[in-house]
Amino acid sequence: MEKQAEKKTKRKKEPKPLNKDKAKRYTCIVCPACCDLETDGVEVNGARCPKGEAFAKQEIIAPLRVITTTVRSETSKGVRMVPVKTTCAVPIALIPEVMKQVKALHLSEIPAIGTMLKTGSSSKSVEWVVTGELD
Amino acid sequence: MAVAVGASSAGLKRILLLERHPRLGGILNQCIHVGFGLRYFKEELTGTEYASRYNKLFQQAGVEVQTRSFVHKISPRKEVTFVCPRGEFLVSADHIVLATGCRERTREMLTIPGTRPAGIFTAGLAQEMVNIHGLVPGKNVVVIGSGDIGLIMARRMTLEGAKVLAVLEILDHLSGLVRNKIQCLDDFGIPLYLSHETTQIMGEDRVEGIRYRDNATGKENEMACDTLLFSVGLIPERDLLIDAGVEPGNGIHVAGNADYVHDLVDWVTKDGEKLGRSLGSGGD
Repeated sequence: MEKQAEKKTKRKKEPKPLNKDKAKRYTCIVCPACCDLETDGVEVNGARCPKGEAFAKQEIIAPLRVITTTVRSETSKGVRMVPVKTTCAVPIALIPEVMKQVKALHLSEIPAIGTMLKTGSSSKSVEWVVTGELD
Repeated sequence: MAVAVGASSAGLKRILLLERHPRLGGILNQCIHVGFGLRYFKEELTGTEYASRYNKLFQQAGVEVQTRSFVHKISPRKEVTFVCPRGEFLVSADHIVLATGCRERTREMLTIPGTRPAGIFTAGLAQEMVNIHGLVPGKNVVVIGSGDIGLIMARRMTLEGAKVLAVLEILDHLSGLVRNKIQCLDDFGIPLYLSHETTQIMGEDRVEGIRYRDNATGKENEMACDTLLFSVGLIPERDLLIDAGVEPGNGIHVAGNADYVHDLVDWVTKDGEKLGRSLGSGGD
């Protein structure tokens, strides 16, 4: 019994010292484990995986999210909504602009899953990928 | 699909999959958001991508598929009656697996007084309207219940230009996953009111608002809105068994969300494959 207890305490990582003035708490959204994270932008406590550490470091600078939506396609068989997602995560603050761009896009065919689409002008363009198969 | 894949991998030869829709994949086909597949495929996918990817595995299993086939009867003698565009058919089997998923609880299953105007939807129905048919069912929306589909739809409706005023939850804690509250509500400034009970729905032809009570303080209030989305729980769909008066067992099985509500599709897949393998290796 004693040995087991010893093992447990060993496995649990010591929290790293954080800069208390800058430290912020987040709940990780990378996976359903929803780890409670605390970071000052340099060190991260509470993450059970490296993805969680990267998430916390990004979250404190500027949160990024993958946007998913649909693009209207008027095909010969009727209107179809083509599901798409951004190929990169985009800053939350840019979501309204990104949605405006994608709403202006109209298709006339059903692109295959994995097809890349581009919206917006070259300086502020966003890349999308088709995520579904439609009939 | 997962049960068929599991059974096929364990050597079962004659498998028939009946699907009432034209396409396999069930509810995944309307889940365009990310958050699927981290456990099964070790990669974050949308629901539609997950369905497509799993379908590829399924195709390799060489299972006979009948889409547009609606099963309307199961008998205790393990006979299945279904209708499809070619007519009505009866097949008998050693094993029958119900993988029929869940239905959503509706407003009628709660006891909320008020009128019965247009503008009341379950969150999943709204999801189908927006993501499959391109129809946004309202402008000023209140979500009742904090289940995952409600949270996902709060974000989806916001992206489509609707104003989501609040999510009301009767319990003192969130029903859905915390990650969904963060990325669907907090990111968009949508308030979540816990311990809040909807006490009345108002409106003649269309929803005009709701009355609600803060059960922590007892204070009542009104909120104007034109649309209500209910995300108040899922019920495993087992009407075929109930109609037949049959319990699971003796070659009749229930898989996936029809068995119990899973948080993640990844677990639905793994459970289904496990059940399939047990059938293939001669288990009951």
